[in-house]
Amino acid sequence: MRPLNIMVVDDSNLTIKKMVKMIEDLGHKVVHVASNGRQAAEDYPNVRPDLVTMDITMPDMDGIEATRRIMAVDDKAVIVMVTSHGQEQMVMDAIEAGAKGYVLKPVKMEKLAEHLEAVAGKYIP
Amino acid sequence: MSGNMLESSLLETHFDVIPFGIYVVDVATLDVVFVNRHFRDRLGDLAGRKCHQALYESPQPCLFCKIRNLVGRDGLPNGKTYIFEHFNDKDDRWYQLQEKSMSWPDGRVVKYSIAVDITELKEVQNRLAEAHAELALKNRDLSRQNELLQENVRLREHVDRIARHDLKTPLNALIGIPPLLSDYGLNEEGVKLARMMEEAGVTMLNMINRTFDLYRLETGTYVLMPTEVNLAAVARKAAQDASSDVFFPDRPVRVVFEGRPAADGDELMIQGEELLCYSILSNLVKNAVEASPQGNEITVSLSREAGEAVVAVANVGEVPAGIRDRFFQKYVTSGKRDGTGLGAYSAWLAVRAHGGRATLDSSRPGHTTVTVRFPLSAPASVAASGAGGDPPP
Repeated sequence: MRPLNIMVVDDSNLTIKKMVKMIEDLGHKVVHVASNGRQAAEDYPNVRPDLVTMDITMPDMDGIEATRRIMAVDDKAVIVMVTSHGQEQMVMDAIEAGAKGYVLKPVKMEKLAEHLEAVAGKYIP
Repeated sequence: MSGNMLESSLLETHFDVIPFGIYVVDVATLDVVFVNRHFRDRLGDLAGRKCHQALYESPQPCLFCKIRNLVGRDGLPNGKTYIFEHFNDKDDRWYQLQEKSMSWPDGRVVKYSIAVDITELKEVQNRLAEAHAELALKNRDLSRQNELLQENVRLREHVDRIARHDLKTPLNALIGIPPLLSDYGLNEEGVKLARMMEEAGVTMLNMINRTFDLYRLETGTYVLMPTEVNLAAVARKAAQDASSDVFFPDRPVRVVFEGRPAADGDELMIQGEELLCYSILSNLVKNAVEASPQGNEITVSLSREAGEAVVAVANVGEVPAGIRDRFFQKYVTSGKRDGTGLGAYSAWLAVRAHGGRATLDSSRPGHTTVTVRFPLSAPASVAASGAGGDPPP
């Protein structure tokens, strides 16, 4: 898998710090960070990352709505939900919105690597 | 030590011996008032700091915070208890939080949270949720692949239709010109050859039309134009044509009408299309002739049973056991050098289009009977629209 340009979307500074470290340790590059769904949807067209990691519960706009908006401007966008919500309806909503992967917290290095590889292998040329 | 201090100390001692994390927060200021030993050992003494900063390193109050719901409009404890699960980004642990408000001995209204670490339990739940998500993602991918496949099939069918149409155009000359050649001084042998060309052209045209009908029957787009059809007459013609096959001589086909030899004037009327009915019976009789050993008779029996017109084609010889369950399915054939496996299948489709049904009976050793039944009344309009499911055994 080639190194990916990744955008991290999460309202928790702690999670952002951890995600950035893990992503960079895995040899990828964090090209942008957004702390809520609205900012993510607004910034995405300018950033055009290879992949987005998206939290669900965030202030202003949640990750599912942000996923819908991003998919509306780029139907090839590769968005992986990274969340603490495992309820069936939440999973279905995210997938219907266009998510390509779903990872539940806590996210460890090995688990993140596994999901990134699987999603990249399937959707990123 | 004042009474308040003594009470506080007692309360804190009680909280300290509880083997779960407990923290107490001032409802008005969100300052941490107390953290029990279990949490102090792991997080340090957080007393005096804002709870969202101390526990979650968040500059703002947490989105999931329930503290405002724990007091009444008067700011006093309302007796409600909230229990919820929460993932703490700071220590990567899952907690079940039980929260309630109370009056602290110094007079402040506080919220206390009892946090039970449920990380191990959540790991199992989360693995299940991730597997569920994986399955949902695969379903979505499959559904998209299926749409693509269906689109490809539609495209292929479109190309097939064009090809069939294009094939018919040059046949106009092949069929139309030979009858005119006799006017151009052809000798007897030439006329015979021209006639053969014309017959070959007609045969090819029929084959193309038949594949087109088969396609429409298969896809449920065949629109039946029913008129009165005399199955007795159709069966006699099919029997006559099949028994004159030079490649399968000495296999007479006997047509029986309600228990006696069929004769001119016999009538078994249904609503249907004569050509399609001929195609059904011709296919079944032809199959029976080809499967029958030389010198054995094939019987086509016509009767009325319970509001149905019944045609049973019987012959000596057995359908191989391995294909009996799939006898009417597409491409099922056995032992015939030129068998396409489409004869019984297309007959089944055409019977279905008439609102009828077809069955195979191999129960008598050494014998085979294929029976088709048509409603004596007019077939329902859905009959030709693909109703009826898959070919039966």
